[in-house]
Amino acid sequence: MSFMDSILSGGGRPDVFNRQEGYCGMLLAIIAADGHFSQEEIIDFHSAIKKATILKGASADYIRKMIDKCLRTLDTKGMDELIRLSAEGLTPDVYEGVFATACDMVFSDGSVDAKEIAVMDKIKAALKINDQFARDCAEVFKAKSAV
Amino acid sequence: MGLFSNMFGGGQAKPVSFNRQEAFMGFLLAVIAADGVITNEEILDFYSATNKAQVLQGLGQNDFKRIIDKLMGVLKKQGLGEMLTLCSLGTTPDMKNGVFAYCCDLVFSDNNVDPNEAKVMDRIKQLLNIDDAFAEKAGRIARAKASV
Repeated sequence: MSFMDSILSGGGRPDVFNRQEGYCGMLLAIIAADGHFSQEEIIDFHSAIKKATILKGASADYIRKMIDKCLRTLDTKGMDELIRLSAEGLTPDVYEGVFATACDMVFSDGSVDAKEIAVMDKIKAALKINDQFARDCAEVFKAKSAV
Repeated sequence: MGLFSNMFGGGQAKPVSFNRQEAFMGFLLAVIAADGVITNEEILDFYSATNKAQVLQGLGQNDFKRIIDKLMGVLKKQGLGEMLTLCSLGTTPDMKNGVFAYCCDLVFSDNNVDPNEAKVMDRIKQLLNIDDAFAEKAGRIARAKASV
């Protein structure tokens, strides 16, 4: 493991997420919500991970391990625990950005499933997003999905 | 008109118009080209946007290449201002807010908004008649996403 990886890895503890894992966990939670990974969602996930400032300098191996950790948490502990651990790993300065990215992903395949709405509600509560910001996100991403 | 003008139609540019697909991609390219630098983040966002957009569904690789060639031709020969005007004429009212939101994402995608990019966004807002409230929301949300 490189120096940067060891700084970023959150010590490798399975029960604690760092900021990077928190971000990845929230995005994977929303992608997995309806039990179907669409091509659009995978492209959006890849783009979001590649672009994120908080993941600058992370190696491909680190990203793979981070995704594994999040998916293992989802498999063994369930969606609520994945969202709780992810929220705990995130810092307040990125709450709105993470929520907006997750919301964008919900609309990325042009359809919003009831299960995705339920997960978005949980993410909104976990990140303490105010109603107005959530409404604004829905309006903007709905407009994008009309293109 | 001289011999070669008659033969090749030179001298008089054929009037250009854009359909919805060309207009959407034209706006995205205009934002990317605005600061003269194409970043990795912008390419990722461009790829993501063109893959997702309903208006581009079913477009083959050849169609995609043809549209890019047409847009780049207009950009080189007629300039950014004219390209934006043509894009706005090809955009239908139902897609205006969404196109603007996509452009906002691209502007913030490398976390750095250049004055030239800001100018292009102002022009796009004006051409698409985007109201201030929606523009503010789209900009704020794109900025929040870029802060992660």
